[in-house]
Amino acid sequence: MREKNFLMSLIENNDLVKLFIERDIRSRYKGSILGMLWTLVNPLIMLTVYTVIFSQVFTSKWGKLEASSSSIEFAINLFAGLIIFNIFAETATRSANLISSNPNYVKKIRFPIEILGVMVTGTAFIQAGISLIILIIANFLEFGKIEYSVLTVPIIWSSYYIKILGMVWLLSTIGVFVKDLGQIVNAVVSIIMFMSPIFYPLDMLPNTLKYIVAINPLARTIEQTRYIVTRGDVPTINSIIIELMISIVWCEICYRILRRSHRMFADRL
Amino acid sequence: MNNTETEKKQFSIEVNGVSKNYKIFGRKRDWLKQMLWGKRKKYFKDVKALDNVDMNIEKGKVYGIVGKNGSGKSTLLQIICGTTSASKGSVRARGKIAALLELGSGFDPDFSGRENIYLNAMLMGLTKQQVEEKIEKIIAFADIGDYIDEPIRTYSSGMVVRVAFAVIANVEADILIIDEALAVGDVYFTQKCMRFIQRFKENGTILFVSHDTNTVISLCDTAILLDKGNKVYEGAPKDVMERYTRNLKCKSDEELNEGNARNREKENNDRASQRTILNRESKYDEEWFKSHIKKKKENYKIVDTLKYGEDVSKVESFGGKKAKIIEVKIKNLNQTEQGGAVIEGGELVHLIIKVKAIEQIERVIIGFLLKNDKGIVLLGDNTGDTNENKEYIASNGTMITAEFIFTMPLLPKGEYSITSSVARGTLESHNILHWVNDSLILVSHCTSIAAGLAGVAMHSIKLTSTK
Repeated sequence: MREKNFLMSLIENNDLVKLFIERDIRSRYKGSILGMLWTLVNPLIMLTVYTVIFSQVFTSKWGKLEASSSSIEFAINLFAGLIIFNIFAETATRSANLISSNPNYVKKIRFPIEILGVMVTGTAFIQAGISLIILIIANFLEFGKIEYSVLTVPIIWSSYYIKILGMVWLLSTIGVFVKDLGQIVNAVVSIIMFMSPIFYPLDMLPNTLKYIVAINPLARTIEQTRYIVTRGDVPTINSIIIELMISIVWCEICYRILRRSHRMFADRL
Repeated sequence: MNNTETEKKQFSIEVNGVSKNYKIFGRKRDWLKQMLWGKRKKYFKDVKALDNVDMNIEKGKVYGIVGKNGSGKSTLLQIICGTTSASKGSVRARGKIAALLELGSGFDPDFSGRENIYLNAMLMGLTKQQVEEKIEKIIAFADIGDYIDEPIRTYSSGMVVRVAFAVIANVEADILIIDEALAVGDVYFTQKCMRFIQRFKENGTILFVSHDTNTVISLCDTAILLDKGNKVYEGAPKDVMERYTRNLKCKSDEELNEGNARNREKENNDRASQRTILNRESKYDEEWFKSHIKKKKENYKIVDTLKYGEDVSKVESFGGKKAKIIEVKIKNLNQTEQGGAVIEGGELVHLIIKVKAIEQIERVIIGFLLKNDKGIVLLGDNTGDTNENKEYIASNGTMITAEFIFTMPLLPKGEYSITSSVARGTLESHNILHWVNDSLILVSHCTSIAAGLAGVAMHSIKLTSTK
């Protein structure tokens, strides 16, 4: 039997994936009064808090912008970065014990284990999508315009999605064998938070540090998303294609590692 | 079985030389060391869960797997389902497998029964649309009313198994794998499952794990007995179950001594408090009974006994080192002459079991079971509750005779057997000393019983019509 690649697996399990993502999101808000509204309320609160803190308390300015720039601008730029970072932070933390906390799916039933990873990634992206809409609306309220370039966000995000999916598969595989992974991931996530251009624009860094951020795969997506929404910058087609190719290769490698290790999972849990 | 024969038959499941080892690492770090050292050093302990098991299951057959806890049954099922891989050997299954491995294993407790039906059915390969077409049928099969929309965690275990079984019954699988799960269902549901299984057999194959003798015997075509990961025996369910119960009942000597110590303690307590006499002798008006069944008497020329008084040492038995069942015989209470006894159903019969004590035995219990030809126990009793048991100490060499006088029920046409045993201890805790299967065979020619495993005297049957 030929090995499936990850795209085939995604298509084949389409129904199940949808069901799992739906369940995942619903289980998060199950029993709460606002229910699904929280997906909207949470990012709104976040955006408000950032606006207040950074315009009133820290009176920060975004990069080298003129002093005349508005108070909400910092919050918008920050929020754009945080949306991307949160996807990474949430998926990375959840994937560390993703498989070991669902032993039933490994031991008791025949189950395409890759679905768990797709579920985690999918949930994170749906939440991020809602945040993105709020970001675009906030940007519109502040500057009175929506850039047509926002239509390219799905393209940028799809390669980011594939990248994250690969990471989730890889981390969840390692997590079965190394129980310390959860702690390691927590530390790495905090480090990456400050290594990514979330609180500052990339070009504010001194040249010596720039390359560190450049190899950080989050950095490009953060900058691209941010400037697509706020400035209407569209990345070149070449860079999009290269990014996508790299993501696909990376994801396929992670997928194969997961498939190969799958048969050992039942004995390790 | 030779190769050409194997090729001709179409097997649903082929299990070839499957072994499963679990590597047990003392500490987490040992596992890391093992990774680094590869095969040059060994840091783990091997635990064999399955050892070279072969099994071929034909299409349309019901196969039972029997064995003590930890004998490797579940591991074998997991390997066949593909949730665990075998360390050695291969498994091949033809067709779609639907498995009910453990109670509610594929269920999410926070979601409703309906949602879990979707989840489980889709995991078994149905598309969402197919599930939508079948959902009503599945819910009807589960038959748990409005609970279907409540979260699974509020369910009783019986309800969980209803839902789980309803799903696997409706996914159109070719192979059904059921692991002890049915035991928690109530009678109605179990009957429903049995009917389903009977229908399913026509096209599909079933693999079945159970501890329940009656279920295995009535359901399976073939059974295998696993012990410590080895296939000990494969054959007719009745034989397998007999071997299985024998394994269970032969306890080791340590357990036996331990048990005796406990018994003595308990006995002293009993003595201090009270002495009740538990002689169970029912008052029975035989004449009255006979007058009522007389009319139908022509119809039941009933029970002949074979092997009357035959030497039981030739019959299959186990134990027998400390005490030995020498003779088992049954006769009509009113019959005085020796020889082949004719027993009509519904009368008092006299069952005699003679046991020779080879060692000194305290607290002897002698018992018997009447089984039908499928091995299902119809009735049975023992001397355990009687007063004599407490005081009774048989010194070595004595002959102990147990006598049971009881009403023989009317038995449908067929063969019946009496299994007899001798044990020591109390009813709660005892050790079987000698167990003889089929120590006596009874043949019934009765045709007057309309339905059921045994009949009682029908005192009156009337048909009236009114306008």
